Parts: sequence; structure tokens; C-alpha cells
Amino acid sequence: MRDGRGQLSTPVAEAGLGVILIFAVVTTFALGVPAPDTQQAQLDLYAEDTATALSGEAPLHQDATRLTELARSEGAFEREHERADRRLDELLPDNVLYQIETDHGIAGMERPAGVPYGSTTIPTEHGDVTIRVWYA
Amino acid sequence: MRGDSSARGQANLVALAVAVVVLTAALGVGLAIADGAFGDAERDATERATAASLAETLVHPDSSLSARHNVLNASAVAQFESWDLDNRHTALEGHDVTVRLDDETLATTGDTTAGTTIRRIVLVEERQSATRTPGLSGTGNPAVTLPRRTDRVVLTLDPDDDTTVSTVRIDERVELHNDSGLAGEHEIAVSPLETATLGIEANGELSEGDVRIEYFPVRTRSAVLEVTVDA
Repeated sequence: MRDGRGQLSTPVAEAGLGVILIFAVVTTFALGVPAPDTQQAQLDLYAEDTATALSGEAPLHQDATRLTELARSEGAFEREHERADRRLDELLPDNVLYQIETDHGIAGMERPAGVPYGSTTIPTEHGDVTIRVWYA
Repeated sequence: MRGDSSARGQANLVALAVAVVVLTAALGVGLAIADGAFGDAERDATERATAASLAETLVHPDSSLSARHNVLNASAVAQFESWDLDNRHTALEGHDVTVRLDDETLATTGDTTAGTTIRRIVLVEERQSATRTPGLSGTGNPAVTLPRRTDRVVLTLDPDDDTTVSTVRIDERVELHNDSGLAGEHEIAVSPLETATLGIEANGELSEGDVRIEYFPVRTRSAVLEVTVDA
């Protein structure tokens, strides 16, 4: 009785262990490979494209481009930030929120913590301008 | 007990056979899943890379579609069709590709519902014709400044019989000149980078409608260019 039990169970137990081992390895393939972070790349593209569009636009008052004008001074930022905000709103798809940061302040929406975002920084004569975008 | 021994041996063999079958099956299923996972990851990456590079090519300043970086030319966009994908972007052979601007499909080489999409923000610029008929009256050499920049001007001159328009200047440069009088339609290329001022030198009286200026200012709108690739 004791013998019979022992003899019968060994190969079955081995097979069971083998199956568990194989599925453990398979699980690392099925679940363990993290999905590539595709949102990040797309968001970076959005930010870069927006920056390119804004860099190519003529300013209203002075300087070379709209971004330079925005970064110039606190007064210029106060004057221009609403216009920059509206322009970004027009450019970006509705499901994308944005903010634009200069040395003199931040325009646009407040970025929630922990949300993946894309950003691009454009150096201008008066300091860096950073555009950040994220999905609503 | 002796009978047991032989039965035990048989049972052992059966169990071994079952174990080998189960293990082989598990291994087969495992390999299939692993292969699928690798295949998916690779396919997705290829699609993404292809879509990203095609999108980049299309918005590049040297692209047949674009006027400047990220600025597409509306008339080039209107002419863009599936043929261009096949013939200008030959590296895409074997992929199904769809290019869309906002919700309008510009070109497609197959079904891409399962594909990977890259979106780019672009501006689409379009030259639209606008006409200005300056309110001229009396004598003198009137000057007209066009309100928007344009790349060309179509000037229609139709002065009265006793009036001669001899010279048309744009930004102080003589563009048209005829001592015995200019009339009819004239197309003049001007710099798209600065505001144009037309100076008209007339000998006699000009009235409203004698000079018609058609110009082509740029209108830009923003749009989303979508490139979907199904490998």
C-alpha cells in the first residue's frame, strides 16, 4: 500500500512540477513583458509639434517669435499668456491638455501628479520655454 | 503482493507516458504563447517605427506635402493620393498604410483597422483669393497697401479713354510700364515675406473700379495628421 502510493505518484508529481515550471516561464512572457510606453512618445510628438508651430508664428508686438515674446518679461507674459493659452487650445486635439512654462510663470492648465506627460523645451533669447501636454 | 508488483510496474509506465504527454503539451502551449508575445511586440514596434517615420517625412520641410516644418500646403494635400504612398515611399511596400488629415482620408493602401497610429499636429495653409477695389478718385498717383501678405497680385486695369496708366510700382520697384497706357489683366509675382504697396502712376483721372487688385493671402488652420500602419 505504502509502496504503491509512492511508486505511482513520483512521475505524476514530476510531471506536475514540470508543468508548473513551464507555465511559470510562460507567465513571464505573457505578463512579464511590459507594454511599451506608447503614450509617452505620442505626447512628446504633440509637444514638439506645438512648439514648432508656435516658433513659426510672428509675434504681436516685438521679438522674433511668439515664444520669445512670451518669455521676454513678466509684463510681456502677463499680456501674452492668455493668447498663448488660446493658441495651444486651438492647436491641440480636444483630449490633450497643456501648460506652457516660462521663467515668468505658467499658462494653461495645472498638471495633475502621476499622469504621463510629454514635454519639450525651447531655448529662447530670454530663457527656456517648456510646453507640457498630457491626456485629459 | 506479487500481482501488485507487476500492476505497479504497468501503472508506473502509464503514469510516465501520461507525464511525458502532459509535459510535451505544456511545453508546446508555452512555446506558442511565448512566440505570440514576441511576435506581437516586434510587430507593434515595427508598425510604430514605420508610422512615426512616415509621419516625420510628411511634415518635414522637404516633403512634397509641406510648405514649412509642420505646415502643410492645402493644394499639395488635395493632390496627395494613394499613388504617392506606393511610388514615393517605396519602403512601405508590404505594409497597409492610411494617411488621414483630421477625419478625411487622404490616402490608403489597405485596411489598417488593427494598425498603430501616430498623430502629428500640423498647420494647413491655403491661399485664398481676395479682391480689393480701391476707392480712387481724381488725379494723382494713388498708392494702395494690401492688407495681407501675398505671393502674387493680379491687377486688372480698365481706365477711361482719356486716362493713361503708365506705370505700376510695387514697393517702389517698377513692375509694369507702358507709355501709351496699360490695360487688361496683369499678374505680378511679389515677395510673400513683406506687405506689398502698389503705386499707380496715372496721367488723368481714375475712379473706383478702374483698378481691381486680386491678391492671395494665406489662411492657416490647425489639423491633426494621422498615419496608421498595419504591418
